[in-house]
Amino acid sequence: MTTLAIVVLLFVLMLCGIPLAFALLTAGVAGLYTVGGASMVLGILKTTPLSAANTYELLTIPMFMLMAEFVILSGIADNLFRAATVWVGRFPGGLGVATAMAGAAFGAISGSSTASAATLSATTLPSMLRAGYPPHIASGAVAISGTLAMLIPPSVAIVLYGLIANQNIGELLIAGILPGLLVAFTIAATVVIVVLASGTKPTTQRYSIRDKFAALKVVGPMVALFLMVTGVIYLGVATPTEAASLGAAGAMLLAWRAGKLTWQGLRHALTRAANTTCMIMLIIMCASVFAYFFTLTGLTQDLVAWIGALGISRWLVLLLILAIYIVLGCFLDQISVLILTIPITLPVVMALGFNPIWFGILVIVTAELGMVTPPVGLNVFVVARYSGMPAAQVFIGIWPHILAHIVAIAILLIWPEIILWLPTTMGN
Amino acid sequence: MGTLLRTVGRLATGIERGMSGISALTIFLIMVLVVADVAMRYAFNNPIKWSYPVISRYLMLYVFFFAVADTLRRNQHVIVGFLVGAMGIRGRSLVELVAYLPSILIFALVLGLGIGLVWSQFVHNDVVMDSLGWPSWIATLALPIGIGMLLVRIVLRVTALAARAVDPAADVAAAYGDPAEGDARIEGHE
Repeated sequence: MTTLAIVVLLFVLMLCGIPLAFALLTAGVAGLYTVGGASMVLGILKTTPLSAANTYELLTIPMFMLMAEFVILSGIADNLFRAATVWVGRFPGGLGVATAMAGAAFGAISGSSTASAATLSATTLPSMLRAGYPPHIASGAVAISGTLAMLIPPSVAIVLYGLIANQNIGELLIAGILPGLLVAFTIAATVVIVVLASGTKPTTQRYSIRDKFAALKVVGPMVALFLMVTGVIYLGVATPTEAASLGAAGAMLLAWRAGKLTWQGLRHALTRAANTTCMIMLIIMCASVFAYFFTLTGLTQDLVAWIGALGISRWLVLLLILAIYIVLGCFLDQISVLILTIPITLPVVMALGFNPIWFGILVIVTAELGMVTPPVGLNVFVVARYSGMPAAQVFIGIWPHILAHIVAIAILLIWPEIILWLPTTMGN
Repeated sequence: MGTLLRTVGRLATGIERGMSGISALTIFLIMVLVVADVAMRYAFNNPIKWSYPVISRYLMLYVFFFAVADTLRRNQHVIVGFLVGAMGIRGRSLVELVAYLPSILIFALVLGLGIGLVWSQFVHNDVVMDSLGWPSWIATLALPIGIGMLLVRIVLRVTALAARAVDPAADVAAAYGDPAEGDARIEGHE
């Protein structure tokens, strides 16, 4: 009964408009006080702030954020769409395919899906509209392509899952590569089908072989950055934290080489990285306090025992959990979803015999849906804001992609090797 | 009252910006240090041995605690409040105010415990690492400074909310924080 009251208190506080971290801290302290009294509260408040901030792996997040800022500053992301267009622009729906390719490429050098959606909005949307794509199809393709950055390394969301679930961050990042390519292919195929089914005939353009090879030049810096981060993690040359720092430094050099690194830009990038890191660290710190209360109540163990006693198929339980993630994603942002649910769902999933890395990637792919589903699909609002379109129009263009995304999740459920194979080939 | 609130709000903003600048600079320093460590390891087989403990025990604390108040001022924390978004200014201010109140007590406790910890480490000459022998209190000091400033910002925000609940047109931007400096909906959700 106490547990239920504290969980209700948490949700009430969240809905009151205070930061999620404050809601977690207040509810956690109230819960600890009811379970263990003032001495327990004081003991945990004395140790948790320092221990939460002392986590070395957390450094991966500011470095990935910094890398994303420098990548945007350098302007190399702007050229990715142009390069993809030269190769696939002549096919029906080619610009939509190029958008998915640019989304995947941007995802390979940035871990922020909102930054990806914003960049793609500025570069791909005007071209698609000029070529005659219906606005809802064009904006839907951009919004969903932006989510690829959550999955393809470097990914802030995957690092956060690794920290909460206490799993190997390097393996998780590498595990995201093949599902990321699968989702990119799904987006591209969906755009082509939707364009053909709509009966519209966007203009296409042919390019010479020379143009095609010239376009590859802009891909060079992107490939270099990708190898500098994901390559060194895969080969076991550096830890994810070191790789993230190398990526940030590499992206800064690219911005400097492009002549776009100003003092103001550098200050802006560093401040944003500091603020985002602080936001995530405060949530982790306050969630730790709440987690102490949860551990003391033994709720998670009770839940695992209860599900075991039900005698239902473990696959049904997993499907129910993923369905809950889709519903939660409609109302909560991805950080809240991961922080609030992983400490509960992961022990259940592991007790059922599922692999935590496989589950983590499934959760991230499912969380991608939350970035584009109403009412709080953040990428939709980013695209609407940058394009000046009504958000409702972007939401209309998203529906085919949501259905296709569910098919992609089903494929990952049926063939876990798509997620789990690549980490097994990693260097030590 | 209004003038005093504005003045204190602006003063706090200035301090928060300065601390946030130190936090940002520390991130840059960490990046340089990690890259140098990797380069030294592979180029000269001579890694910077002290980089790991210095980063995790000292620098990360300053990155976090020195940006914590400024992050709240810029409204860059994850906020779910779509329910209060539908309420009027007066109702929303009252609901937020009540929800923030327990945080004041809790962060005051964290501040008190942090000061006690720094003092204890200072008096007992505690060291973080045996190899370097650096004092622990220099690292822990970031906690009371950062949480103290966060507490000031929360108290200012609660005062601003109270003023807005009485008079919805009250100019309390400096005390509440300035969302215009960063769009929470975009930047706070990655």
